Amino acid sequence: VKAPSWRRARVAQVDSGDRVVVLRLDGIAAETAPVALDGVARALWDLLVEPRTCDELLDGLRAIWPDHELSASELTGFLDDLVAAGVLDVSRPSEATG
Amino acid sequence: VTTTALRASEAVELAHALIAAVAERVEARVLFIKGPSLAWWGLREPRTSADVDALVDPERLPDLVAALERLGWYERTTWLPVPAARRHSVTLIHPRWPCDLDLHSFYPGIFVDHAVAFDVMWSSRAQMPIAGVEVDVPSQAVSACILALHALRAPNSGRTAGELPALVAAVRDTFGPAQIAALEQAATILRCTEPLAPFLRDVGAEVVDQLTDDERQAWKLRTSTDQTIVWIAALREASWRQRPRMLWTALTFVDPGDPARGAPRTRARATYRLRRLGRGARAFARWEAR
Repeated sequence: VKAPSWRRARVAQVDSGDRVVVLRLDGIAAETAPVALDGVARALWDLLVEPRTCDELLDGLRAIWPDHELSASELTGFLDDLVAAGVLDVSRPSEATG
Repeated sequence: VTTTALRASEAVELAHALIAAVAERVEARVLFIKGPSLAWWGLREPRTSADVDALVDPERLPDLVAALERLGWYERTTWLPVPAARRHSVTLIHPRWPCDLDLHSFYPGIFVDHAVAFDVMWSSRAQMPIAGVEVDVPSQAVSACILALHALRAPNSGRTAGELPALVAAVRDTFGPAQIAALEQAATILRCTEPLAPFLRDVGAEVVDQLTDDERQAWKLRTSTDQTIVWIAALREASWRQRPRMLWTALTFVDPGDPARGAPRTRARATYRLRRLGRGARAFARWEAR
């Protein structure tokens, strides 16, 4: 069974060193706002340069911060927030093609 | 996930991408001028801009402005009157974005037809990477012309005082004969060699006379630093029906940078402005006689 995976949507992004600011470019609406990501959020965003599953993201984060305490449910909540902001797309298992 | 305040440098870069994406949606051609494109072409040192300047296909500018207004951007008001025929840009602001969007339908000092000017610049455009996307910018030669026009429009202003010498130095240091030829060609096709004459001469490029007397007069008005002269000229161009309303605006409009802003009552402000317009009328007579 394939796990869901997340990938970046079409976005503009500016790296200010201490944070990265991301703006969705598809379906821009009045409520669209730039999203600022720093710390763990920024590390996860950097990992999402390629499509990743939740486990891959947790493993990747562990490689950077071995003692991080982010749970799988916290991570999926964060990823869902990014999907709601329009800067991330998710492929659920039923949508997977391969 | 946070949506904290944008920094100016972040806003300027992201706004390039925002305008490009919205323009793509409404099928409007856009060229980003000044700002980051100047550093990208090596015409100016990198610096954070306070606004994003874009030249828009004149026919499509209203559609782009409308699309941005639907996203919460709105037009910044100004004290200066600008007749529609001479209005070259719309400035949009947004409460969450710490930068203005200056959308130009043409650039002052370029005297070829506005649509032709845009087509000429579009035909020699390049793609500049910014905020993780690529946006269209004019060629290096056209970008140099635009920066020089910007500097020469207000040559004694504090904001632009050092712009021209710095540009001349950059061109002398980095342009070879082919690039100087491209500069001459761009200036000639865009009919801006006379407004650019001080710059072109300083970089060793040829200057040809192209303008009519009316066009020279229009450029003189553009380069006037006295805002009151602009008002007097606009009042003179306006119809008798338009003048009372314009005069009322001239006397009562309040903007943050105006010295009359602190006046406690409309009447005191109007008296101040009336005296200023009187002085302006005399200055206008002297200016016309130059």
